[in-house]
Amino acid sequence: MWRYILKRLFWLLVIILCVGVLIFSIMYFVPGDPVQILLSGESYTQEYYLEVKHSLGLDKGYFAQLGDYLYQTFIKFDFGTSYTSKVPVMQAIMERLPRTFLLGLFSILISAGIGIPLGVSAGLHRNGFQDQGLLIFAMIFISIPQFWLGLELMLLFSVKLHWLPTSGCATALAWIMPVICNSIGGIAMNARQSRAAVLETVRADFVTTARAKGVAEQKVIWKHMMPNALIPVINAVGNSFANMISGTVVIENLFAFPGIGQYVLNSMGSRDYPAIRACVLLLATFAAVVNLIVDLIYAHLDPRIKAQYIAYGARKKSRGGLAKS
Amino acid sequence: MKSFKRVCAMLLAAVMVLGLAACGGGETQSAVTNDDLVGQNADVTNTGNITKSGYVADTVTVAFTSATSLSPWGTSNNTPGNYEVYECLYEEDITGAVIPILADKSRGGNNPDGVPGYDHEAGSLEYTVYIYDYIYDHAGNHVTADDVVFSYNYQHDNAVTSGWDVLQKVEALDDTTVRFTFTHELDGVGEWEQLFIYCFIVDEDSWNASPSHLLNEMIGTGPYAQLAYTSGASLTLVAYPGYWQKEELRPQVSQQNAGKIVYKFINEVATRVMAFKNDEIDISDDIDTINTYDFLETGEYGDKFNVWTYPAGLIYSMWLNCSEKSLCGDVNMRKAVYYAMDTDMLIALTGGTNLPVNSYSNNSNVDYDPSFDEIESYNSFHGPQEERKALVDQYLKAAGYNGEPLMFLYQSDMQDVVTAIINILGMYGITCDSRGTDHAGAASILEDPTQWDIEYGQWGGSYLVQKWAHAYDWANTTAGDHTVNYIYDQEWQDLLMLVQSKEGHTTENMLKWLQMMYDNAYGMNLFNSTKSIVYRDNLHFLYRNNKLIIIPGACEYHEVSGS
Repeated sequence: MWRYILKRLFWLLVIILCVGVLIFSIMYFVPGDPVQILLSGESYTQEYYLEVKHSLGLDKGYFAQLGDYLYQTFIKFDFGTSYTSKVPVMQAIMERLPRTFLLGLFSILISAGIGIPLGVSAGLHRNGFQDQGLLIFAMIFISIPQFWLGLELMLLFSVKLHWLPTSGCATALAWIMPVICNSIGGIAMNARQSRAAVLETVRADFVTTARAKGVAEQKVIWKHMMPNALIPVINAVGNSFANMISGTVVIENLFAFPGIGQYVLNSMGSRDYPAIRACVLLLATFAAVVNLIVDLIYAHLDPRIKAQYIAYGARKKSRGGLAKS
Repeated sequence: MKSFKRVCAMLLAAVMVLGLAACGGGETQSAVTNDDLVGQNADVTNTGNITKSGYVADTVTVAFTSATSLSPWGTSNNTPGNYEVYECLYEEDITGAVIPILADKSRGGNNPDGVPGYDHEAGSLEYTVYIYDYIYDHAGNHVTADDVVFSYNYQHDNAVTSGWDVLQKVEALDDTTVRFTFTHELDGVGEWEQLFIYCFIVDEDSWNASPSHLLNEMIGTGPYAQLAYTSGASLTLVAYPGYWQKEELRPQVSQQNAGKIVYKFINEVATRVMAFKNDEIDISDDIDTINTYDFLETGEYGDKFNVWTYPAGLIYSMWLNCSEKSLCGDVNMRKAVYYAMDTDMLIALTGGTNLPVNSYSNNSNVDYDPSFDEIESYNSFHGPQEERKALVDQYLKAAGYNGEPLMFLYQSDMQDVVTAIINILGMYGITCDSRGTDHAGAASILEDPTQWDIEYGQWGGSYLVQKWAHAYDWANTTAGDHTVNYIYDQEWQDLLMLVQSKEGHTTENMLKWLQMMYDNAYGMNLFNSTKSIVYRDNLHFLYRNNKLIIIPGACEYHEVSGS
């Protein structure tokens, strides 16, 4: 098992390195000159333009810049300073990351807390009104654009009812609409996923056996069906957590919520390379780590998967032993 | 299945009803004309006639675009609150009047412009500025000439300071006297201002004591001090009780007419509009006129808010690629395109909130002259469509145009206007392909003359000649021997240099430059856009500085019953 984890950690590092190279290359080759944006609205001479370009290290070739970037990021762990604000990028990210993380966490708790019971209920009452209601609900909320939903929520809860503030993060009330907006799609996804998982389990042999043995229906559901049905759901919830963290750009911008998404969007417009690279790298690392954790939880919950991992480690060990002899 | 469909239909109907209810029942807007918009509450920024109320508003909340640092450095700096917390040697109001702030107005004045606070002999490279001897910042540090030297040197060495390459040396002669030496006399239009009203003075000790070196906190000498700051969310300032300047010497910009000023960082205009309706903000500028209908006198929120709509001051121009590699390299082709550009139709198609123009100028600039609009050209042509068509056909024929599409490069947020332009050109037989990109992308594509034929852009500046320089100065290109739209006309460039100098900045020279532009079809101004400021009705005087930034502490308020 440990061998498996170490191997995954090694590949995680490789993935992060590849993401670093990829995002650097994309930003390098995509049209747009950060110096021109920095100087926009000002009259400047060509000498001054070149001076600023040099001071940002943008006058070097692709490989020289890439080398500098990889050295600074992966050896010195220095993500650089924002071109526009002059604030160290890591500092700006650390100020905003907890907000985005909490926004994602609340959203995932709500989407799982509502979506899974809805899906289970629908699966247990196939073709009943719960099931049909859920299908309609899921269809509507998966297809609603977040921007539109956010505006509608604002109109209703802020403008008409005056219950909630439209923007910011200073009070608990200010979090309600961004969290709702971020969770709606997740509720629908989790509900559909759970429904499908329950439908798959409901006719499984072990469930039929339990019923044949005269086990009470509630016990069949909660002790036999649910632990098996929810394993793939946990996997989906874990992955959607990573998506929710990285997908908050629209919501944060609409609700003026000062998180990573808003920071990335502002940085994109000004071609603030250090800020964009650091955010992308951080989000990629987060997604990879969450994936690893989900896989390990999956193995912990499902003995079949755990057995596979252990067998994989043992195989490796025996191969190594043969080579030595 | 039947019942399922029924449930579906009922649910969808319910969602639609809820949606409409939330939208206010799809309320229709009253037809508002240009006349209704521009000039409403027009006297709100009349700087010559301020009615002082003596009333101090408790808290004023202002919507502002997101800020990621509170740095005071950089000549293009417009960090929220900087103009309340920090101070420069001089300020300039919206009319272009220079106001001494840290400069001691009881001294100096021996200079060609008679501005108090500094001495300068014509022909000399030295400017001697005197500051007050009782300036203290919010940390209690005494601000002296050494701090002026520190601030100028720091800004020069570490921030974006275009136009500052003329600064050779700054030295403190004593505690209140600073001598500036420049590489040449500041005789260009706006050159003196660029050096003296764009550097906030910071106390060196305060800068050293700040853990972030004033990136995350504000310690200045201004009438307001920082109370709280949440990066990316809000900044709260409070009237500083120990403000150094004597009350009788405080200019309008240094007034403390609000107890607290809260800047809320909201980028989305839609969110700002909602925030107004939910009573969360009191002032916001930079709102597109089309989004202000609810706040007009006849609007739903007209009893709480006012709207002041003004010409945005930008030149919205259509550039044609004058390179030989472009179809528009032929002057006849350019004239055909410009004559085909029916600006009245364009204004109508884009919502009617923009204002018509007759020349490559803008009447909001102090160096504008009405004679610019009298030059006969494609820019002033508003004749009947048949006449326009005949002119376009004549030039298209002379250019030998065979219907090949022109590549229209534009920034994606301008898509509506560009679509209208393409349709208008199409009416006259000029076809276009379009390519949308962002600001940075456009700048990069412009460098390749084979990639584009038409570009639509906007230019700003305090003076007309600055706008012209932004658009046409050879210094804006890497090669430095042509304009961004590939004009290699040395005579026209020399004329541009001339009108940018204080001596050559005459209406006559400006007319000459414009005439050459029209003769060679180098550019065209399409319209003058309008912007709006929405503000609560307890405000009766809106103070904006020369950068058009609202200074809430310098605005005048009055008590509103029930407030």
